[in-house]
Amino acid sequence: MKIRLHLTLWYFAVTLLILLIFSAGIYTSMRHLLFRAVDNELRIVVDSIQSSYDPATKKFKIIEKDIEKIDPFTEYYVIIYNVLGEPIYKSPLGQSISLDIPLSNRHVPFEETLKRIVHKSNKWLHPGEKTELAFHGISRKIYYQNRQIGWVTVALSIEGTRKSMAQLVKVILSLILIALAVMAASGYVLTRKALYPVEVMTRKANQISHSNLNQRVEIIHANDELGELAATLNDLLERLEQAFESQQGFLQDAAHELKTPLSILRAHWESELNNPAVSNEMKEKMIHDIETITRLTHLLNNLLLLSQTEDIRANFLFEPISLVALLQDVFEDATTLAELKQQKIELQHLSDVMVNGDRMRLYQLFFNVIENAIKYTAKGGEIMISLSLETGNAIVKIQDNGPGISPQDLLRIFDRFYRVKKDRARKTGGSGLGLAICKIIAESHDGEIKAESTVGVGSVFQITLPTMNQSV
Amino acid sequence: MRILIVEDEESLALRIKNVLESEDYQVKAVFDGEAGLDEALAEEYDLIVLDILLPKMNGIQVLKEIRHAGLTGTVLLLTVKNRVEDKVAGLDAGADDYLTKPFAIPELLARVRSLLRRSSEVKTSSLTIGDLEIKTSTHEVKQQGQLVNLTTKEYAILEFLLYNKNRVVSRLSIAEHVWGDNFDLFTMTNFVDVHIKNLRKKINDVGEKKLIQTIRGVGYMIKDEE
Repeated sequence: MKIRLHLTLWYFAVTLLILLIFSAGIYTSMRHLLFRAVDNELRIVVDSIQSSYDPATKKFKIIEKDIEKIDPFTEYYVIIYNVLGEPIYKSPLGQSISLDIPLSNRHVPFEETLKRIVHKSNKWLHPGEKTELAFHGISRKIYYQNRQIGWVTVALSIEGTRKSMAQLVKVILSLILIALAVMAASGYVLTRKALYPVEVMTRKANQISHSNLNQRVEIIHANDELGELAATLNDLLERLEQAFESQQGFLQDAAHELKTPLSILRAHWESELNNPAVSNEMKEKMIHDIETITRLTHLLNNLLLLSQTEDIRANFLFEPISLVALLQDVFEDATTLAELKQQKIELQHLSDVMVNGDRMRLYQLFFNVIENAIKYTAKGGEIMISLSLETGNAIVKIQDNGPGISPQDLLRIFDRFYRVKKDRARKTGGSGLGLAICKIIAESHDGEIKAESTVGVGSVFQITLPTMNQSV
Repeated sequence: MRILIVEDEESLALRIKNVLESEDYQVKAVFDGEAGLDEALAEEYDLIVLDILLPKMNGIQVLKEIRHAGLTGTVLLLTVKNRVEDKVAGLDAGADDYLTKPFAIPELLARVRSLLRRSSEVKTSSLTIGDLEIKTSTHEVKQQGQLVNLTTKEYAILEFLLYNKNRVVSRLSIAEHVWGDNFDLFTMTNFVDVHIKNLRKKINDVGEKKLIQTIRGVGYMIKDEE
């Protein structure tokens, strides 16, 4: 179902896009918030250092170690500079690493520098640790009553924040995956549900051919667009059926109307055959006319058969038939014909089998094919007829050593009015409908006919018919 | 023997009437269904040749009315439709036989003779010609009391020629009678020659004055000996 896949993919793509936009928004604002919190924390540290300045001692109270001698800024990278720019305090982290945070210009009265720094540690000295640590650092002038008393540089590792962000990305991605999976499944199911009437219609429309035009498409929801489509299809079928019926009726009527004058002509000429006043020479001409009339009649009958739009089996009389007996019957007639051309004809068979068929039509089928073989095979040629059994099928092969059929002819020999070599010459007779009729007969018996041929070697026609269970 | 023809194509009806009259049957022809039914109910006929497609009243209906009135005369239906179901409908309505148009005159005569023989009170189940005796019920052929072994097709040809005694029968008509009309004409007429040759051998029909006469380029004929 292409449209279903198509729709599902579109749903998928659009949902993915929406989810990505949302996630990106959440991610950036989250990141912004978290880093601002870090920066604020840095400012608070700077503020608290600045406010702890004791002008009396010219020292910062906050850095004085308490009784337990624990440095107040164990987690921070803190360096306090005096007004000359000399460091007067370094937190433990400040002593162990050095971050490149430039001090702001002396002449600008109030200024801070905010910077992201990546510290690269020597991985030989710290094996197994992360060699790159990212910090947010701030450097600001500090004042006491508008007089600069120095600089403070504070930095804080943002690795924790970064981990949180990575965690957030993971959560968002897995949520997106889950949402997409749900989306794809429900999209597929929903489109399937929505397109179910189309599937039903397609299946039905595929089943409808000229032989069952009276069938209609099922209307599932009468009021929606697909219901309308189904109703429209049914209207179309209705009109098609009527057109077919009238065409078929016309054909039947025309054929029957043509047969009436043919009957009159034939009865006329045939009764004149016994008129003693008519010369024998004239009678020979009349015979020729009668044969022409008969050929016309055959043509009409064959055309009617080939144009049958309804179930062709209605015209056949099906009964159980012994295939060997039938073939022997055909063989007897074919032998008569082959002997006229001094051809060798042979019938081989393994065992008898029953088929359900119309005796006359099957006779016609086999005889037509054998007759063709005799017709196209040269004097003194050989024709071999064999019967073999395969599971559920009887296979009759008719093999000759005639001139063979060229590949392009072979494709079309079962077409109506097709003649090999365009030999419209009357010497071979026939209307070019023989094999087309053979095909129709075989198919209406649930069988098939096919041909293989090699130019210069000969042809094999193979007729397959389903057997009845009661093999003899 | 009285025969009624109900056929709306007048020229065809008159042609059939002509042929049957030349065979010494008493024949009347009418041209529509109602006239056909009236005639069938008014007079007694041994055989009714009844077309199916008729003006005023359909042939099948005429047939039903005839059977409804208790008449048991033999009915031969003529039809243009070559469909199994139409034939079945005709036979169900009480027809004894049917013939598809266009038909050969010899075929019509053979059917008429066969039907009349079946229905006639004197069951003459054998035909004789010269020293031949043909039992139509068992398909046995005897020559001077000796059984002659004929194939089904040879027998059919002999019987067909006998039913058309004294008439020229084209090879085509013989072929259609024996093999049906689904085959290549020219092949079939060749068959007829071969089978006639074999038949002649079997009944020893050789010499100057043959029982089965060849009418060159036309067909065959069996003539009553004078």
